[in-house]
Amino acid sequence: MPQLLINLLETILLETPVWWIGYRKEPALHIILFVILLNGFTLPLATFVFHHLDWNYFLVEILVVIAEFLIVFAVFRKPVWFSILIAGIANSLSASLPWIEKVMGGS
Amino acid sequence: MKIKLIIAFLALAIFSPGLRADVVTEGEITVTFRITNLNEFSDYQFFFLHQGYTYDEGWREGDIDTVFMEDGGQYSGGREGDKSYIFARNKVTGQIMRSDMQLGGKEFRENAKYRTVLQDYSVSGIEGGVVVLKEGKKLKPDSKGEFAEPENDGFWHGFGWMYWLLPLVCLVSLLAFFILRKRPAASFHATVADQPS
Repeated sequence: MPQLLINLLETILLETPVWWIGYRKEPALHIILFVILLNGFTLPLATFVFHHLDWNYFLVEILVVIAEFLIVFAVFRKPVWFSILIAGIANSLSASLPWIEKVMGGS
Repeated sequence: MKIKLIIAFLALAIFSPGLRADVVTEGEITVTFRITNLNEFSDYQFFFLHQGYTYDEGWREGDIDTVFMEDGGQYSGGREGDKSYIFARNKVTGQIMRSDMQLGGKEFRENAKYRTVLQDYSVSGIEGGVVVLKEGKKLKPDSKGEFAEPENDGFWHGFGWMYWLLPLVCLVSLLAFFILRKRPAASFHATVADQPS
């Protein structure tokens, strides 16, 4: 299985609870589907620009947050600050995954 | 039903073989690099590896097995359009870093003349003895000095389509998601109610 798919699954698993809590009034299926589509859109592009175009990791993450905020705002129509907050929290969590894995791996 | 359709559409796209286009041109490349200020990196050993476009799909630290070079070196293999990386290993801690990642990444990259070097390649024949690591497996040149063809060796090959087709499909699906959610439910029921029984 390609590493990209593993990263995608990990990201979805990590971010889904955050989105779910933030938008708990929405149907669960909608949230799950939304997180899959959202990360399916942003993660491959972010991976590509980070690994192959050598973009700064934090810049990439900020761009991901902006992109996801715009999409989630358009879809769910919550306040701007709330959309930014949830997108920021979800991506902060998934962005720290490499460090979490490093610490857990003991390397 | 609409949600199911979106899921089915997405699943179909993800698990389809994908559109593939072979844009990699033939021809072997030789890349030479040289560390210009070794004093700042006296604790490091340098080595050079090639991995096409699929760094994130490839080997891990434990797989690294190549010739270490004290002041630069030469790598032969791969094909034009592939991408290569310069690595450094700390002799004391054993930590390995890519030229553009982690500790002192930017400084190291500049000092290693990373970008300049990668542009300075020329076409030549394959030289024996070079080990190419791919997908966690070591590919060694055969008796003729030729490398076996990697199965998933690039942006347009194997799972490389995920980098562009998956985002495209997901974006379209998100748009569909947005449109379907935006449609007022009342109009749907009104339409059904208006239908002749």
